[in-house]
Amino acid sequence: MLELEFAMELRVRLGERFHIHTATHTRGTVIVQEGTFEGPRIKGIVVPQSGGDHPVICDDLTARFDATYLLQADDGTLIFFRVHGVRSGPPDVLKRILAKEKVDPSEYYMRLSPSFEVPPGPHDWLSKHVFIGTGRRGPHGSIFRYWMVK
Amino acid sequence: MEETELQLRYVFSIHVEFDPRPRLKLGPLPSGGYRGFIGVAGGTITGPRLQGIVLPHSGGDYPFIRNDGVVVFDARYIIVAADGTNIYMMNRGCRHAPPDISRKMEALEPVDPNSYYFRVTPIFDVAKDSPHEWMTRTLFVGKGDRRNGYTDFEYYEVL
Repeated sequence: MLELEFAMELRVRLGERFHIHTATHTRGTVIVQEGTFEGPRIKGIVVPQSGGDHPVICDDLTARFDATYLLQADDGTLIFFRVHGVRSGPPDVLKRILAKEKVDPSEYYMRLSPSFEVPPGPHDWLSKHVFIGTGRRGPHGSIFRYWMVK
Repeated sequence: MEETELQLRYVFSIHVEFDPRPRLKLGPLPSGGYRGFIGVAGGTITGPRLQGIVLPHSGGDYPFIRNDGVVVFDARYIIVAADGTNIYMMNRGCRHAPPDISRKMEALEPVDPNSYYFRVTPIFDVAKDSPHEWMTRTLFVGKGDRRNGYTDFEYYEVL
């Protein structure tokens, strides 16, 4: 069995959602407006409007996340942040999520794997491990919790 | 409802055999680091949620070797379930070891898998409505045990 160590909780406020319907799939796109993150080893902010999520949305409304943006630790270090993951569930539940209704996280599956690029230094551990996590929508935005896979 | 901990559930193991040749390392690259290549010769899959084989010569790993010694995986190959379903696998993650362990690994000497870090989060593509479609909407995490000529992976589903 693999051990997990809680790494951080990330809270973001997202902007307006756009959709591009290609011949093959729907590409969603949303820019991160602002946010914060905090964990036992690090805390900081999401650099405002530094990127966003560009998920591929399948016909059955399963979403494959593809996000990139920047974080900034309290000591000023900029961190390149990328997330892949999936959100799936019964179609009616996924429709309610897309309509921004309040949906209990137990009704759907949302699991993510972030990766980080950092300069050499005290935040090195972010770039030398695999991370997994969950996400859900809170009243003021999205809330993600990430664990380091030891 | 707030989770306090994610649960992992063992799903399957993949024994991947590599071609001894060619085994390449290009670099240093203009953008930094090195790029490696090793071909997949074949392999087997066992476990409660998937059984099958690694399709021989269906791809390989093109690892990126960073200046800090971390090896970032970029492996793509095809696996075939026992029912004949073809599944595309893309494996990514990282491996690093303390210098003495690294030296032994470079020399293809056996080392204790718990003495280095080797973790991956693969993704899969498979046809819609296949009994294995669940693999396209699940997050997996795995642990690798690298040996001379093969690697054994243990995969867990993130519940």
